[in-house]
Amino acid sequence: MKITKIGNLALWRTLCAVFALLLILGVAGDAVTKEWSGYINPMLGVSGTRVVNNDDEQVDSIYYKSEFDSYTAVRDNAIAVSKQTQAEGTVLMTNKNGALPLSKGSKVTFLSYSSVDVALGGTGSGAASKVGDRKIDLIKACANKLEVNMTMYNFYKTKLNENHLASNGALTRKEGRGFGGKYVVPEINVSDFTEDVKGSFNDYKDAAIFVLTRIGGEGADLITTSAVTSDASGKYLALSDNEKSVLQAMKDGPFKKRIVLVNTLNAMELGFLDEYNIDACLQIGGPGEAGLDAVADILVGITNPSGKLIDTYAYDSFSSPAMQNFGNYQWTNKDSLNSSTLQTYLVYSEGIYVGYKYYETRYEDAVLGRGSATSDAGVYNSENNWNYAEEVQFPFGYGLSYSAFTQTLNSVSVDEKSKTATVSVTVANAADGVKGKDVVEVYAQAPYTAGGIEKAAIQLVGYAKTADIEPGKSENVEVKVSLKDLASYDEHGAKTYVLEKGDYYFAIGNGAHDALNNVLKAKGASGLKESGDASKAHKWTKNNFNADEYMLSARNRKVTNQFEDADLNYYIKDSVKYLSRNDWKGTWPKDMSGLAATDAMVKELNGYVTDNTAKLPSAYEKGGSDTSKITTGAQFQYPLVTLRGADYDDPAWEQLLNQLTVNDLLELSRQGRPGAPETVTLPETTAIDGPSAWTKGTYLEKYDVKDSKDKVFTKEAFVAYPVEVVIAATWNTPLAGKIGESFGEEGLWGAGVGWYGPAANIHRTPYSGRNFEYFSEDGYISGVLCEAEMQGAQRKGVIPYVKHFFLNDQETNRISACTFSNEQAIREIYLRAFQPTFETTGENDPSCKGVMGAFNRIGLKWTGHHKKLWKNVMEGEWGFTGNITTDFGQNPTGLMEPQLAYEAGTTMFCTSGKSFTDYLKDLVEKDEKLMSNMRESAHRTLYNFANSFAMNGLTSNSKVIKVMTWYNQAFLAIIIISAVITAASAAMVVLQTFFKKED
Amino acid sequence: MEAIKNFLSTKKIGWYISASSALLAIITLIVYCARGGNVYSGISGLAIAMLVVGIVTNLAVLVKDFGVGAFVPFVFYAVTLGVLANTEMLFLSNVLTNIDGNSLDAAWITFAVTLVLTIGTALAACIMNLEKKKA
Repeated sequence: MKITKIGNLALWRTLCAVFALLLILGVAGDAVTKEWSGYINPMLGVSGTRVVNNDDEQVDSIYYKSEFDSYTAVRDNAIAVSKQTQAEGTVLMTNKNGALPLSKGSKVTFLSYSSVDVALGGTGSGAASKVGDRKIDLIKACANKLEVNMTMYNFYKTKLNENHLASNGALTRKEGRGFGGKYVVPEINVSDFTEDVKGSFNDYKDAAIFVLTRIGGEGADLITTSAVTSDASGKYLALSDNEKSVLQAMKDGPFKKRIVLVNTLNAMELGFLDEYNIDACLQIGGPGEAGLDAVADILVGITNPSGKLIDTYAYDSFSSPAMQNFGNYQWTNKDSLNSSTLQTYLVYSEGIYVGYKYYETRYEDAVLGRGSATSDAGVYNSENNWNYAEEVQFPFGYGLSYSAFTQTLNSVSVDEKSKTATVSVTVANAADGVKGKDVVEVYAQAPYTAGGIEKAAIQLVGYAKTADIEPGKSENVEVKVSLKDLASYDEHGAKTYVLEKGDYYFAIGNGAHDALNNVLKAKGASGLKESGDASKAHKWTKNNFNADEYMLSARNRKVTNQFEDADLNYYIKDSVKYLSRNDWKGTWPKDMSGLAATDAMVKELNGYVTDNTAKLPSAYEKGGSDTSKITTGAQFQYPLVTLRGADYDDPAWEQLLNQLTVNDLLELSRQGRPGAPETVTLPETTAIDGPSAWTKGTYLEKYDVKDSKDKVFTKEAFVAYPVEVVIAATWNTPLAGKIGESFGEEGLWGAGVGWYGPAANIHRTPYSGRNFEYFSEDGYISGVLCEAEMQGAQRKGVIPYVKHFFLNDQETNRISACTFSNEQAIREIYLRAFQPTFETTGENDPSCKGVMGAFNRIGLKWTGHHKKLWKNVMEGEWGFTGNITTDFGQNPTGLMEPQLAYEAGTTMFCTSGKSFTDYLKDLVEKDEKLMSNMRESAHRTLYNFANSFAMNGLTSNSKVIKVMTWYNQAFLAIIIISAVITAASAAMVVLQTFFKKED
Repeated sequence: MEAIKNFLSTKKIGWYISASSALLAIITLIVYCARGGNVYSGISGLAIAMLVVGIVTNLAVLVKDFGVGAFVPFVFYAVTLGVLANTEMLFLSNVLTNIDGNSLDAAWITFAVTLVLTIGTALAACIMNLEKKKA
């Protein structure tokens, strides 16, 4: 056959190769985007489903309504709430000679590099949303309030643009990413100041304001930065040399007042305040996009600060017992473990003595001369033996005001029958001051017997914030205290909560230390050298003891030990000596590095990871292979929306679950994209990172068309709120509820149905990278505020996935570290921070609809596998019926093994993709038990979505259809076009080759 | 030596590019396997299989020019990229959003770069002739 040459062979080969590459990339891109659509869709503001309604239908299908008629109004409200939060969460730590407030119009010089880029919050998934020009910086904040030295400001600004600009346009505070990344302290030495800059000080000398910034973030603890900041003293939470040089210049300069704004997310070492003659200091935390406006208001006295510290500020940030075991610990025999996810551990050998519960308890014992409290164990800053005044600079709960408030303890009435106490306090504002708010902090002391149950000398059990009190006026405040919060968890004896016989003290005070001094005064402690006021303490004697009295949860379920195997002593006898106030020196935590897992531990740990041949972890007992007895794919009868408000046990759920196909069960396992469009009419939903913002996506122009083709997204990012440490420092529970509602409103206006927030882990040490996402070192206030914020969001139909549940209090090895603690500490601190959120005490106190299990292991079990946690504690004791999602990503064979997870109660896997469901599909089709567990998980998921705003816009006649997103359409077009051209050019190549041969 | 000289004397620049493609693919394979996956996903058997087939066909094309045969390894290399794009997506998104404290290690960067170069050189090779026209 003779064929005429058509074109050029090289041309056809090139076309063929290029379009073949396009074809392959198109196919791969299509597959990848389908795999990760749950992650991509919310970022692009698109959805894979659409609701189609009958236009004739006149039914109000907006079950959760917004209070606002435009997204601008929603955002304005969120910013107003943010400002109020910052105004009430800024803590005045010191104010010598009334240095603050400044006169309006004062001429001030802001010092430090951070003054041109105040940190809004931390980094990682909990970072602030991208608010761009909406951010209020110091210049905007100070407009019409203070005259700012722009020579100094512009000097920093120029240096920033020249030398330290990070890729996101901010000041570089972290180099590299992740565990390999290091936090740095960008500061310019005063020797680099120009003459112009130095000369400008004389014109702006009413006050110098130093902005002291430290950040934290996901994936990296602050401790990792030790000795990596070239000019730092070795600790990230201490001053760097350059900062010292600037502070020295501030001290030596012409300034009338020297002020420090502590823009840190973790408890910083502030011992330098005296050294550099600082007159006033404000802890401002991470103010979010609008908070600096409120800070400027405080600087000039428009607002009176009313925040209180939510962590103890020690002179030495390494001085807590928890710091003795923090960081990276690896089993010495890690090679005998089958997965890298089994190889690390962490021991909380400080027991219940976390934060102020350590410092204050040791203080009482020092005053009372017992327990070797004044020994040299744990001395970090004391000149000789341990001395509270030399170790602690600012106690938990401490904070000043521009007003001179006095608090009078009127009465404390204890009602043992209702297990409550009512504390009545009058707060009076001095006549010659300014109006302001104050916080009534109620603490309690339980009787301690040497060698008995460990008890902190003082613990927060209640608080309330006043309204604004005018000068010369007062307000009566009543604080209800639950005696359950005084009860101790007796893990060895009664194996439940107990309230022992003896003398109990209730006390008020400006912080835990003040309250404890009042208790000591009331006790007549002869060793007390500090001042105390016995009239601010009240003794209550409990004359009887019944070990069963406090054993029941709010829903009358017996509370007993569930975490005995979280104690390392369970596996290795006497391996941990928990810190005891009976002997501070003898029990001071030792470094727990160098441990080897026993054979039994190795066997158990290896049992949690999948044997690749059997496709099973040995800890899992597979169910029967006949899955046919589980009904799937039954005829459509109920759309999900018809079960809105139905009880969890309503028989109709069975029918609805029967409608689900196996594929639906698999799809519903995918957190961030659970959808079962046809079978139960559930549109695609999203879940977005928090807790300080809805970090991705933009507002909808209209909120009530979220699933229709008419939806239009704006270009406005959601609001970046002040971080949780600021929320906590407000000590204002209703305000936390308002923040939650504001998050809920933003959810309605396009952010998402699921919100990964709030978070309530504990500030176990000052060095956790993620402390900014958590409230406090104290479990009680964390729990109260977390619940308030959650309820606020939930009132708007959002599902808050409260995280990271639990014992996930550091970033180093957070993925899968075996975390050991004792049951008392677990119950009294770490679970308490979450308990009010998940525990339902009745119709008016609904449980949270979601939770995110943490990456770590509790003892040897990963949280998602911990049946006792999900079934016995969450469901049994607390009545939780919410969705249980894993943390980000999957490792189905090495950590988040799904068979065990479903058996334990986990209901969905965060950001899981098609490869995960393919893996799961292989398993579920041969395992009746797994399918049954997945069906029950689907029940949970659907129950919670039915009662969320995911149902907005749906009626019983609505249809949900699958639609192709624009990027799927684009990939399809690329695939078709490149396939055609590839095929055509390949044909030409073949013909040309044939032609050449013929020729 | 003479045989090698004779063999090489018939080769055009395309052959050398194709040879570098095979070399890069071998480096990719070694580095990818030596790295051993990450916390989210293990080593992809499919990716390795595609890469190995690509290398084998690439070597075959180098030994004996099959005309348009240079197209075959290119396709396998490109498919490898597609497979790895999927398996490494979670890890990559993780790093980019700085969520889990992972970072792009040297081995990851190496195999990503060498794979892209492999595909680029393979693409160039299949556009160009590998051998000089016989007289």
